[in-house]
Amino acid sequence: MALIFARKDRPSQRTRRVTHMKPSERLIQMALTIATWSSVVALGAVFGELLLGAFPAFTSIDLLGFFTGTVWNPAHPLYPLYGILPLVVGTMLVSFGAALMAIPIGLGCSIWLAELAHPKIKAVFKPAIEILSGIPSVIFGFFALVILSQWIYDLLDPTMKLNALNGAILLAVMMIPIMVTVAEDAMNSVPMNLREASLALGATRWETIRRVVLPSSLSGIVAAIVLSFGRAVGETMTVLMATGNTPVITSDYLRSVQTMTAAIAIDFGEVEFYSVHYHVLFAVGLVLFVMTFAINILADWVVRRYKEDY
Amino acid sequence: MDRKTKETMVFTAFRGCALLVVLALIVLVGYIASGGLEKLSLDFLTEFPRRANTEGGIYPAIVGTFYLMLIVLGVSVPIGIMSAVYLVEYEQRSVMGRVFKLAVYNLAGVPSIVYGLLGLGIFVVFLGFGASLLSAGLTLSIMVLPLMISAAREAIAAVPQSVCEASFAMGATKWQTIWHHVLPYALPGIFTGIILSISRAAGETAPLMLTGVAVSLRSLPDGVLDSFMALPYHIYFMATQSSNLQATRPIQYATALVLLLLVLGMNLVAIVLRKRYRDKYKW
Amino acid sequence: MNMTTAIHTEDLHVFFEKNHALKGVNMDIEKNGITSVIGPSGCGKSTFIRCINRMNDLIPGCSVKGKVMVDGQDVNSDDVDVVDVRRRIGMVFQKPNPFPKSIYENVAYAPRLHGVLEDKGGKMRRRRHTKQEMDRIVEHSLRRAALWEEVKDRLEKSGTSLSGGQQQRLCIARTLAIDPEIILFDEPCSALDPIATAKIEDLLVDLKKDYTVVIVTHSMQQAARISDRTAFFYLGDLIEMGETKQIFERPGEELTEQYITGRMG
Repeated sequence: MALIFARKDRPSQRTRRVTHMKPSERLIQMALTIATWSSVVALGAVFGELLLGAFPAFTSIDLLGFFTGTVWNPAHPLYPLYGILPLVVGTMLVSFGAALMAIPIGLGCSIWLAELAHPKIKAVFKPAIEILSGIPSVIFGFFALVILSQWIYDLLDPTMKLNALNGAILLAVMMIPIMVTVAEDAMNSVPMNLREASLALGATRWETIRRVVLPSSLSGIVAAIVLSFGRAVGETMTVLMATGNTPVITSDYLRSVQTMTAAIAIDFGEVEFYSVHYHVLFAVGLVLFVMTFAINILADWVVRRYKEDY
Repeated sequence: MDRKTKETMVFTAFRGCALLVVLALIVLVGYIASGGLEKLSLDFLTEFPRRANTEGGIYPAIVGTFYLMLIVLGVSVPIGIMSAVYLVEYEQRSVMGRVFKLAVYNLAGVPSIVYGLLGLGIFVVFLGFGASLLSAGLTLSIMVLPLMISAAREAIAAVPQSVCEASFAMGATKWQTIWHHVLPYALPGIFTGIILSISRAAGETAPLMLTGVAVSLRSLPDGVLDSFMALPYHIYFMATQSSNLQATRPIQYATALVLLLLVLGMNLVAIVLRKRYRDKYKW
Repeated sequence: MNMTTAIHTEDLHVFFEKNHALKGVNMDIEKNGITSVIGPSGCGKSTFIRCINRMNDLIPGCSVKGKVMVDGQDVNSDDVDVVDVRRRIGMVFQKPNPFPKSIYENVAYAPRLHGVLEDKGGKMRRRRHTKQEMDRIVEHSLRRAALWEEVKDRLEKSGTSLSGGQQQRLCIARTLAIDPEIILFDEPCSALDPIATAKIEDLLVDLKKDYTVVIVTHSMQQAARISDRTAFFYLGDLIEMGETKQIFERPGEELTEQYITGRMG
């Protein structure tokens, strides 16, 4: 995450071309270059592998039906249906629901952390957020499956015990640390003298936050929202265990749904290698990858384009 | 409503948000701990599972997870550090530098299940490693690479210019300066990054599901091409697919607690380490 | 204290944790004139003026004791409305700090916050400015700050796109927009080039007709050029204060003389 706000880049050590470099130095530089290229190669490999795996699917199924079909039933012995829409709807339902909860709470938390919290309390709270972000997703999923679903069942009497709300709530808890980290960072980079100027003009602290700090750090806050949303879309284990794995198109949060991620994870346990189903799962993976890639690029662009200079 | 009252109301709401988050953490950890504490014992950690996970322990899963962490340690740490050194010291404003930064940034955003597909396609099938520790370990290594690079990069970039300048002024080469001055200075930060990366790898499930994690094994893996068990998958499997959910519930809780303690423990160590060295070197 | 005193401090002490930064300052500042505060680095001059508009409250670990009387009211007392104090006392800082908003919005910022006070059937009420009212305030403030001619065609441009000197004049306009009684300047020219400095000095001389101006400066020449009265601080104590001419030509205290003649840093 620090990559977005990398401010500590040091200026290039050399402005002239290096002409005298010992062979051992050259060797080391080459090794370092290769190591660095591994990231680019890895990213290319992800994309390439998805394409490779998905390609056979494009030729053997109705592509339009894939993107617009409303039934996902690939395991049917006679009439398998590969419509991705239920999975997309499932992903969006859970992710948007989570965002609706995570954004206000996450923002409130960030503002409190950046502007109001006593340094001693901050020193305890920030590690707590880090710990929260480090908890494995399978544990969130386990909690949702065993405990939260029971609470929702007792309180709201849902149609099905494992449902979209279950997943959305836990996904929100997972989104909040990212939101808080990135947004707080953005607010902290607003220089103190702007706040001083506002207060000296007779503004209250809240007015200063609302009229100076938040507008100045807006690009970072938007990036925080977008990034955490991307995380929600890409999450697998939590939704796999919490939402009931029923691919349907619905807007009822108290029903089971299935996300793209869960479909891939769960079907792979039973799928036959190199069958059509197998390749279609790669196709779903490709769609998922493109979505999260676009979301991440969007977040980066927002910061680049709209960051205020003070 | 006057300005002062408005402010008080809003600020109370914000404090409430922070409280809510802390509450969520406490509730989560609390329930797992209370449910799992009773089964936690030395026997539990050192025995094999028996009777379809209604009795016995989780030893092979713990071992599997440790082996995975070792592979990640061996692969992503050197590559990560080398990449970070390159990004900070050698390549700055150039186009290539931007490409690398973008690649790392986007790698960090790839969903874990997609890494599973990558691992399946490349390590399991293409390179023929099959459903094995190696396939899973390498997949996890790629997955935590961006994390490792970010942490190492921050640590290296925080080394003050003056340290490098002093070294150059004495006629040292770039690499000598890096090896003898920059890296030692950045070591605590790098170490923190290592711990966080490994702990992240230990908790992941989705990539394992596609690269061959086993449900139950009679014996521990012999070599890297052997099948393996792992803690996160063990929890998932028991909680969703055991034949008798009620009977295995205590062990589910206990396994979750073990994983939680492992990951939380590592995170805490990393946080404490970072704080101590930040105070010492004034990051 | 008499009718021409704008600010009267009595036994003013400031502590930063254990550091005793201001030691019992008793000072009177005259209305409608320029009073400069001079002294070597670390002598407490910035700390002193920040007491007047309660800006020291922002520094953790800082405690301010004593009286600061402005317009018959002790602004340092616990039951005074700090927000209101700061509305009546403006401050311009060392480094120009325009908001990353348009020039117009920068100047309109404070008036928007405070609204227009008007008498609605016996009760005092605050309401929003109309567009015309705000336009008038913005133009008037920018004119008074000698910036109007330079920016009148680009009021929607960002405040940060101006040069250093223009930014500082924008900050002055921003302060003038709420018509304070007193304006405090904390080394306003130290980040500016000589030409911009000269413009601001001319501006200050013009402002003193209607406002009480207190300026902290590390430049004795500046103090000698523009101020009517000068106060000399050293290590937290007010050593001497009087008419500028007298301070510079015939200082009463030894320390003052040492500083003036450059024998002290």
